[in-house]
Amino acid sequence: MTSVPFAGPAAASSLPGLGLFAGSLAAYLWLVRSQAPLPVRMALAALLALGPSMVEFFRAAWWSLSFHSLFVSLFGAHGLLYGAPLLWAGFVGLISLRRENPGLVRLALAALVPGALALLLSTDQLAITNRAATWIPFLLPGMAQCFEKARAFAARRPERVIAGAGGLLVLWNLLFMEQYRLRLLPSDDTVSFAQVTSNSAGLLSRAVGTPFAWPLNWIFAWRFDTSPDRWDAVADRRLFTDKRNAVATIEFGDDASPFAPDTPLLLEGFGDRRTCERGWCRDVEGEGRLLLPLQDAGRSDLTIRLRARGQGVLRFSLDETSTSVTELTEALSEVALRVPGRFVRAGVNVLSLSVAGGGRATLDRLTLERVPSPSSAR
Amino acid sequence: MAASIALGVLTFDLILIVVTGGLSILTPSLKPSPAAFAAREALLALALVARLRMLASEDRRISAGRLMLVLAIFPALFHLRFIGRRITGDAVYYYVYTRSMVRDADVDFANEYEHYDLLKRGDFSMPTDTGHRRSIYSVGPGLLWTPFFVAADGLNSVLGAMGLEVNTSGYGPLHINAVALGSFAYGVLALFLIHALLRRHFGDRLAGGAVLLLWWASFFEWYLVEQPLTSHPLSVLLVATFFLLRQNQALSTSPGSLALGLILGVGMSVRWQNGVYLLLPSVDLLAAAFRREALSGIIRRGLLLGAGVLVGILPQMLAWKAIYGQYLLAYPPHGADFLRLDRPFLLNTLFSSRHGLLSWTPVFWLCLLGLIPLTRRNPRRFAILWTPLLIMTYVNACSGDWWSGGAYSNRRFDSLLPVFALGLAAFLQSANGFLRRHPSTLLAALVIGGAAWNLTFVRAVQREEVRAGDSHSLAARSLAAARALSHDIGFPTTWPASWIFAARYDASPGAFDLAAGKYLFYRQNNLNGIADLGEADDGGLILEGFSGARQDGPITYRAVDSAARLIVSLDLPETLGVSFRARSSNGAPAIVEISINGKAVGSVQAQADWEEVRIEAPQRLWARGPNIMTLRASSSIQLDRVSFARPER
Repeated sequence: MTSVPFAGPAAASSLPGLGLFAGSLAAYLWLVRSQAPLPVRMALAALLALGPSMVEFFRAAWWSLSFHSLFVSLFGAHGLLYGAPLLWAGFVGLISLRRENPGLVRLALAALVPGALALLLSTDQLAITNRAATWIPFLLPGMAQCFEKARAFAARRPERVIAGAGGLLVLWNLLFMEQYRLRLLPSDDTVSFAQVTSNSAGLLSRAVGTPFAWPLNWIFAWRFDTSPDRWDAVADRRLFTDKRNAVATIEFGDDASPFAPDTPLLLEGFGDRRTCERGWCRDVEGEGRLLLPLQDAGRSDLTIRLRARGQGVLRFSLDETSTSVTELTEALSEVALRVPGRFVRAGVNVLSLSVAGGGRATLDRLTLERVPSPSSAR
Repeated sequence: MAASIALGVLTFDLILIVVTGGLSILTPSLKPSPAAFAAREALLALALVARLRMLASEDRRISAGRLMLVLAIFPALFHLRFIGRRITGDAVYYYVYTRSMVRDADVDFANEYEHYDLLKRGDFSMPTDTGHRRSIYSVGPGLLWTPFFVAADGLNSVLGAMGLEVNTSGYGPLHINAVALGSFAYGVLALFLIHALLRRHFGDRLAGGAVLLLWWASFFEWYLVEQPLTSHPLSVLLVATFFLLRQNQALSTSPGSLALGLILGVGMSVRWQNGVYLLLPSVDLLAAAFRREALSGIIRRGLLLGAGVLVGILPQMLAWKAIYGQYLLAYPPHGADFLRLDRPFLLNTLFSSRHGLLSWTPVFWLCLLGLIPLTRRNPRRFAILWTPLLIMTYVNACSGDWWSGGAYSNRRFDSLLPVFALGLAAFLQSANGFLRRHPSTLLAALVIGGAAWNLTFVRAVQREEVRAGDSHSLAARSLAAARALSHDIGFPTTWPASWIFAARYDASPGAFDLAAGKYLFYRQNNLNGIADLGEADDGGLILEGFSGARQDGPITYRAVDSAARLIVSLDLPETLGVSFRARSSNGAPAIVEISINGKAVGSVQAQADWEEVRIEAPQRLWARGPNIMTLRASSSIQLDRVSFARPER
């Protein structure tokens, strides 16, 4: 169960989260040993699992229910199975444990099913680890069972385990070869192995997606017609960082580092970062698409302001619903699009841009602003 | 019979597609796409499995180990056809031998160099004493590729007779593809020979697995499919043949001794360092003498071995005679200082990020570790393998460019692949037994892996490489986590060299990656004496005390608040003029005291504006390899670059 305290930096530094986990562990042990009837214990397990989500529900400034929330809570970059992939062993182990110890499995399911379903709830609080901390102990028997099976397999067929380890060495080599071939590394100089690791991870996740996010990243890639690696950086991102924020900004090209916040949002059509007037920008040649991960959708209208310059007519639209058509100017200026709240999806939206006649628009900044919708004002 | 014909047609079709770049007898009017090529491969693979395994009688059935190797050929062939490069790097210098020998019946490369626009290059522009153009490359690969070049000529004639447009110059893609495919075939044959070598000791499947792992997890795959026109596939083939002959007691008969010598001689014509393997039959003959075998027989076999070697290296001697006017060269044609046996760069050769053997291709760790149980198991048979291993490692570490130029991993260890294969098979065998006895090791590995995945990211957040709440791509997360890991304990494939580096220079082991192997002046891709701070690639120069990169108009720089350390590597300690382009941060002049390797050099003054200030650092302060330059500033300064000037020669 070491994966839980290590389930991410937030968990590692969150004493309440660890306390909740430790308390739940004790409660789980009591439930397992208790002589109370199974239905009672199952009900208590469900309550324990739902507890943190219910607390969060009552504390939240807003809430919504969506499958997107469930998926990113499990498979997003801060998701449980992404951050602690060993938890998979808990789920897999429960399947093989169902005949050997059905009572234990029922007790586990009584906590896991409502606990996982509660992840459908999306709020302004970002406390996935806390919300899962009370039901993760119920994965213990499954995990133990899975580990025992793996141990027995290793004793019975060690050559297959070794073949798997050899496969990792082959993968390391093939990815290293590929980045060397693509000249992502200097051909005759020292290199940073951190960079090598990053390049390899990039090649792998672009080609087949991050394994810890399968199959959600494949579905994401198919849905947005992009590579599966986008899932990691976009799926559980919130442009409006908390409930107090009415404005979110994307600065194009300002950050040159590999951690630049704008890069993962850019789909096709965007150029490299370049200087413009006194800052940094990116060009859109002809047509481009931009991902906008939004939560708390539909509560208010959204005004999208684009600071851009260029020649010709710029057309941009959100999810092909609301559209703005504006003549670009030589100097940077703002063009705006107001999107009614009902057209804004909870989750990832797509902003499409096109410049008439295949021209070029230079983008400096995108500002998203929540504005009360006329209907809510009434 | 019909199945054999079908197999033959499919095989011929694939070969034709690779050589011609798209001509197929199955679809003459259609150039096969990658998918169509893959489909043909899949069909052939299925046919081979059916023919050689499922439908074959038990006594003629291909073994599982060999079948694994056969099936692994197909993805490699796909890479060779659609992705692999041809005339890049060293390839041109080996290929000109083939063309010149077949087309011109000489080794005068003037016309070939002119074709490849190399004749103006300094070392090729001047003829040698014999009027030829020099080559530092061996003749063996070019010579052994000639059958494929000639076959391409034959194919060209057939295509020409069919009315197709052909290129008869010998520079065209058809000839180059044919030679590349030939080199690929030599390499694949080498793998089967290594498998045969291993089978006797480890059984068919384990041997197959070891060969497969060595093939796909080492630099061999690169030189088989990405840069096939190099000496490496052939070198491995000849060394593998040598080992197999030796294992089959070739030295106990006269013809066998001659064959062993011939293979070794040809191997030396391919890669000169293969001469190290002369040690093995020499020791075998000495052992025979100790066993009191008939002296006349030993002498006869020794002479035949020597004769074979002489015949084998004759092409190289003739080539040198033609090019340089001497049958044997006193020094490598690279120059007298290319091999410096008193100056080994052992840790760098094995662990540096500049093509270190173990750091780039960690599978060789398993090979080395496996040699230990192998030697223990049968010291009389296998202990001798350590001798070529140590000698070749030492020689490679003493090469002027110990990083093997623009190589993938340290390719110069190619001649040791059969030795490494034996070690790898022994390792896999030991690991198999260990895991059977201690299956919980798997669980430990899983937990350590899971914890490492998280802990490295936690450390990245603590080190402020990334913010905890931000979402990042796997590439960005891996970069942050691997940086944190490298900073804390060094990148695992650089262990223990990065720890030694850290202890010696009181630095993070992560600094080893970029600093070890980056020179101020030495050989290609050096810094030209300039440590340009603030540039994207200055990571190999700074240890600590510098700010992040900053920009002032066109000037990129880093600030030093009080003390900072730079690391610069020299091959030769000498007196250097050191110039600092700097300015003070607060407008008032700042005094900067300079020391090198802990010894004071003097001080310079940084003014309010960018200025270059100079100081001389005498030879006695410098050391070979990395040197630490410490700057202690009286107040904050900004440093654009440090330039090192050698004395006028």
